[in-house]
Amino acid sequence: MKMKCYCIILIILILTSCQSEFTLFKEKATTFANSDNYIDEKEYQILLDEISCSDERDFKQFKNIQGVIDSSKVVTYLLKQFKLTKADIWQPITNLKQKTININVYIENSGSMDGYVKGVTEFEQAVYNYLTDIKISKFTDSLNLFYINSDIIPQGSDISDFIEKLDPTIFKNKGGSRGTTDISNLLKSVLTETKPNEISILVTDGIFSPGVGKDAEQYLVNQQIGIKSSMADYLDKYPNSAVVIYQLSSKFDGWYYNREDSRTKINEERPYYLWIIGKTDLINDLILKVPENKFKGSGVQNVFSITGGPKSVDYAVKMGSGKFDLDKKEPKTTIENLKKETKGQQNSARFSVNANLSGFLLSDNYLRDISNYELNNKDFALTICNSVSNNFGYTHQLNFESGSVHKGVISVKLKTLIPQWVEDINDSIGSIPVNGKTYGIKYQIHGIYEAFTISNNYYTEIKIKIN
Amino acid sequence: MDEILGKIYCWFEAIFGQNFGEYLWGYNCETQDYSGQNIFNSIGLIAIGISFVFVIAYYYLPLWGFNHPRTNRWWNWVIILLLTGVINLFIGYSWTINDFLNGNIGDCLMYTRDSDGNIFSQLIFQKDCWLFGLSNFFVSTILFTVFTYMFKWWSPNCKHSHILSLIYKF
Repeated sequence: MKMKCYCIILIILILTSCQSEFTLFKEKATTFANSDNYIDEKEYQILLDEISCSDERDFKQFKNIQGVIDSSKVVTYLLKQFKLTKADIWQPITNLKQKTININVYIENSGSMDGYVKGVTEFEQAVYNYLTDIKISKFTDSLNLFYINSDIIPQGSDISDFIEKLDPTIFKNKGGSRGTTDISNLLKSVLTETKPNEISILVTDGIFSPGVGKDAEQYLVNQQIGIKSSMADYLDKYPNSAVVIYQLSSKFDGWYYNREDSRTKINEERPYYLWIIGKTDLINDLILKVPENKFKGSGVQNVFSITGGPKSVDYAVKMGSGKFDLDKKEPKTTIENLKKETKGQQNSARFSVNANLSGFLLSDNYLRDISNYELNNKDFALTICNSVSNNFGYTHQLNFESGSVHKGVISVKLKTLIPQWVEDINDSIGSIPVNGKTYGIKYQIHGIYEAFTISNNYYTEIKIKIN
Repeated sequence: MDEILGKIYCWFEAIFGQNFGEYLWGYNCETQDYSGQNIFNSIGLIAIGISFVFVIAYYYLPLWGFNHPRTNRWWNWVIILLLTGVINLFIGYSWTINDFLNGNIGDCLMYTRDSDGNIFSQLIFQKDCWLFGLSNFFVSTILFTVFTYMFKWWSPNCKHSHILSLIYKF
């Protein structure tokens, strides 16, 4: 009987008493971290050596599938274990290649724009501040300024000089045909000038001026087709392009030209538009550096943005978001044994999916609005919220809930839609100035929309298989 | 095939919890897949090995009173069964507590965090290691019983000594 007891004790001692290499690694890390609250280069290298010299399974968390040490995983572990910040840990420098990006800024200087630049206006403040923010953000080292009407008139790259000269008289003196605004041609000129590593910013009042004796309705439709055609040609050349349109507002003191070019003197707030055209990732970077909430003056009132689709996004079923198992082979996209969960009065099957929807230049409001999504199974109710902080770049959490358990593929599409504000702000008649509205703006935006959605009308599709 | 042991352990998932189960399946929070070690397989194979050895020892090994007319009572069999279970309980516990204390259980399995990244709730506790040990106890006793029925038939002294023989008596 004694012998048996010794054996049991021996087995337990063998299983529990060994000090592993990982424990030694932890002790070293603790010593380094606690000595001066800083892990310097030498200490960091010692820790890396410990990891590389051992095959113990505890060290696997620091290595990728090929067995190479992933420095970011080591740092993440150290941050988690000790009360340190990233600045307290020496890290190898990664050489990021700086891109050189050109930004061309076009300000429409047709007659209808004069009222925005008479005296000091929100228009001038907003444009000046935006361009200055772009310059100081170091996003680009080449900012080229232009006036645009029938011609493109270069204005150098001195922002303050450019803004100081924003004046009706100088507008007039700079030349070009200021009498009518052919927005389709204006946009075509801008698109022709926008090369792959460039962003174009166009500032315009967006008002069509068909001219005397023309069929306005027909003119607007033709302009829409012209815009669609120019944009489609551009997308054909540069498929990863995007367009963002900010609707802003400013004091306007000057002549308002209606659809027949007869003018009315007004002094009121008028909308104007800032278009950003270029490669999606460049525009994304620009927006991250100079977000819309940084606009001075009245700020950005509305945003329309569009990119080509469909594009695949990174997404994964969120573990623990319901009663189900993840498929062991495809845990991101497949779930098994989905069951109803009874919580209080709730009795439903549910699961959530985390997705990175940041690549579409869409606002959080757009992404959280369930009317912008199309679900293939009507039995599931969809809700959307922001993802909790994560290392995968997930921005939104899509929650699916159903009163019954379904098997098969659940598909949800993020649709490409024109926001309601476009209709609300559109002046469809154009005979008199309507406060806060722009004559024919919806035709411009529809032209852009149709070019982008010629082959599909959704940004991305998320598919989850339920086995 | 490589999921059989895990599926057996998951009969007891209600005891140790879903998140702890995912850690045992080898879920890797960094890659969001099951690229980690499947601990169910490792611990399950140990449980199979220990149960097998103890069954063979009890029925055939002429050492320490095994395979002897004095140890062919039903309660002798129960003692060895419990011994097997307890050893496996400690193996399950010590394996998982080591990972728990060394921070080897993924953050996504350990905690729920709010949008700022602060811990909202903890999902895996030290007690779960004990509860998994308990599950390992149950699994190993099941294995012991199965092996008993597979291997007892040729035992010269103990082939009738198992818990069911007591039931047969009544």
